[in-house]
Amino acid sequence: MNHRITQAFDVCIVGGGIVGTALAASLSSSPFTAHLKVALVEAGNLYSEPEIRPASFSNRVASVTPASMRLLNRIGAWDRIPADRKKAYTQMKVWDASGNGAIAFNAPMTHSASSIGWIIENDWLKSSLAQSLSSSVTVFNSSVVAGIESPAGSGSDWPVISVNSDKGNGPTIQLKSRLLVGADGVNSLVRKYAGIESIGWDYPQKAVAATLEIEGVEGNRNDVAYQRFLPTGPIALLPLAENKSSLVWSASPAIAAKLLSLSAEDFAIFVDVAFRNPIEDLTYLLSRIQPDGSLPKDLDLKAEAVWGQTRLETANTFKIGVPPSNTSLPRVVGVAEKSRAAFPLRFYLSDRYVSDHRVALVGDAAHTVHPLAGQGLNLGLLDVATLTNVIEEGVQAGADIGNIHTLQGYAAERFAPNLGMMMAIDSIGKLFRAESDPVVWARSFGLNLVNTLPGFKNLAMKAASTL
Amino acid sequence: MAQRLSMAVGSAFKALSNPSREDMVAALGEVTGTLALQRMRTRMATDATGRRLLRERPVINTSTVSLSELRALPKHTLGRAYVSFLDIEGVSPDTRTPVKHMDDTDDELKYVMLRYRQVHDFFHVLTGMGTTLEEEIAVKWFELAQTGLPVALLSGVFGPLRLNSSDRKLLFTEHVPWLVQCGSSSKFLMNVYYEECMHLPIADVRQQMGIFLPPGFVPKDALIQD
Repeated sequence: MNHRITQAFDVCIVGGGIVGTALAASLSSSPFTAHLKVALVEAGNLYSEPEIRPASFSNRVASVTPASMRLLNRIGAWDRIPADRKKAYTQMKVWDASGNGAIAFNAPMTHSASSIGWIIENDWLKSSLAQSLSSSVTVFNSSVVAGIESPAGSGSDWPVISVNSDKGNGPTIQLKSRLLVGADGVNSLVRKYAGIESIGWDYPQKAVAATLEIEGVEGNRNDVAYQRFLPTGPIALLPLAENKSSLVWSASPAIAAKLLSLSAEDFAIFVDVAFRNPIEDLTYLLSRIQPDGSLPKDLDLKAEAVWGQTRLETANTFKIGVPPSNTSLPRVVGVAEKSRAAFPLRFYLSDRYVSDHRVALVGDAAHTVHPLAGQGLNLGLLDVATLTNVIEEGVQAGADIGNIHTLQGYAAERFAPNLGMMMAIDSIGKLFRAESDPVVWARSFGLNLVNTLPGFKNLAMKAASTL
Repeated sequence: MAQRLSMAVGSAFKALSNPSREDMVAALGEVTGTLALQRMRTRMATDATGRRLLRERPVINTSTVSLSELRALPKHTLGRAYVSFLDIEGVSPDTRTPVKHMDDTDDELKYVMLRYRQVHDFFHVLTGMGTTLEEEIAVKWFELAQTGLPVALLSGVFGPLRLNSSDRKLLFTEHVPWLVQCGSSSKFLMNVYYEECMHLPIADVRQQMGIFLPPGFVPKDALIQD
C-alpha cells in the first residue's frame, strides 16, 4: 500500500475477456478514439498462447455471426486468426427429439455472405484481439481489482480503481478514469460499484463441452451445424475442421456429472445416441450409468445404440425425433483427451447498462444468456460496436464520454434488442423442455411451418445472425 | 381419419352394448389406443426387459409355449397358475384376436398391441382374478392404472352398468380401490418376460412386481389341486 501511483485514463475497462479486449481494440483502432488513453485490467493472462497444433482444438468455442465478423475485421483481429482456426458453416439443422418438428437453414437464403457464421475457439478470439491493441491501450495484465471508489469531496467524480498487479501480490496501483467499463462477467464488480441491480437465475442445467472426432460428414466438408432439442436440454454439434466438431450439450447437473464420468469411448456413443436415437434410448442408457461412470456388464451399449437407430426409422409411426430431410449426420468416433468439461448456464440481466457513476456495462456483465442460440458473445460484440460509436460521437461533439447523457445513447440502442433476444432464447429453451403432448404438437407444427415458408425463415435467420 | 373416427364410435357402441363382441372391443382398443400404445412402448423402451421384448418380439401361443409342460410344473408356480387359469376358463392363448385396423402404424407398435393382448391373461393370474364380469371389470381398472389405454377406461367406467347393485358395490368398495392402487404402484407388467418366469413361485413373482393381495382375499391359484 506504500507504492500508490495514480494514473489517469479516459476509459478504464475491467475484464480482458473477449468483449473487454474487443472494446479496447475497437477504441484504439478507430480514428476518432485512437487518441484516448485506455486502460485494460485483466486478472488472468491476456497474452496466453492459443492452441496452434492443427489437430488440437480447445473445447470453449463461440459461433461468430457476420455482424460480429465485420467488427473483428474492422479492428484488425479477423486476419490474425489463421484460416484453419475459423470454421465457416453454411447450413444449420435444428430438430426436436420428442416431436416431429425440424428446420433447416442455408446461408445463401439469408444474405450475401457465404456463411451463416464461423465457429472459433475463444482462445483465438482473445489472442487475435490482444494482438490488435495499439499503444494507446495500457494493459494491466494478471492484475486484480481490489476495489473501486468514488472519491468524496475531491471535486472529481471520476471513479478510482485500485489494482493489485502480479495476481494481487504486486504493488497497488490506482487508476482514475473518466469512463469505467464493466466487462467483468456475470459477477461484475463494476456493476456492484455502480449500484446496478442484476436479476436472473441459474438454469437447472449445465453445459457439457467437448471436442469430438467425427466421420462421414455431409458434403465431405463439415460445414453444417446441428442442434437437437432433447427434453433435458439442447445438444449442438459445431464444425471445427474437416473431421473435428465441438459439442455443447445442455443437461441437468446430474446428467452432466454422469456424462463426464463415462469413458471416452462410451461418451462418444452417448453423443451419437443423443443425436440419432429415439429419446427413450438416451433416457434408458443414462439410467444405466453406474456412479463410477462404468456400465453394467449385461449392457451392450454399442448394440443398444445400433438397434435404437434402426428403430428411429422402422418403429416410429409419427416420425418423432427424426432430423430434417436430406440430413446425414456425421458419426462421432472419438473425444479429444481432457476436452470434456461442464460449466453452469445462467440467465442474468442488469436492470441498466449505464449509471451516473461514469459506468457502462458490456457483455456478460450486462446480460448473460443460455448458449442454445450461440448468441452470448455476439450480443457482447454488438455492445462493443455500439459503445464505440457512442464514444466516437461523444468525442466528435466534444462531450464528456463518461457522462450519463452521453452513455444513455448506448443503453438506448442495446437494452431493448438484447432483452428481446434474451427472452426469445429463454422461451425457446423452455418451450423445448416441455413434454406435454399439446406443447409438443404445437411446436412441431410451428417449426415445420417456418421450415416451409422461405420468407419467414429468412426473417428468423436475419434476426439470429445480423441483429 | 374420418373412417377411423366412425369406426371408433361404432365399435364403442357395439362393445358397450355387448362386451362379448370381443372383435369390437379389440377394434375399439386399436383405433383409440395409438397414443396410449405409444406411451406403453416408451415405457418398454426405457426398461432393460422391455427393450429385450421389443427386440425379440416373443409371441405367446400354443406353438411357442408348451401347455403340457406348464401343467407338469409344481403348483403355485406362475406357469402352473397360468395354464390352470386357461383350463378353468376354457380359453387358449391362440383365441386372442389378432391385431387388425392398425395399418398406418409401424410393426413394433402392432407388436406392443399384440403383446398387451397376450399378457392380459397374466394380469388375471397375477391379481388372482377369474373372468366373471365383475372380475373382468376389476382387472380393467388394474390395466387402466398400468397402461392408460382408453379402452380400459371405457370398460372400467361403463362395464359396471351391467352389474347388479350388490356386485357393483363389491366391485367399487373392494376390488377397484385395491387394484387401482396395485396397478399404479406395481412394476409395469408389460416389462415382464413371462416366458422366462413360468417356473418361478407365483408369490415371488408377485413380490418382485410389487403386487400385493388384500387380507382375506383368495387368489384363483390358491385353489389349484394336484
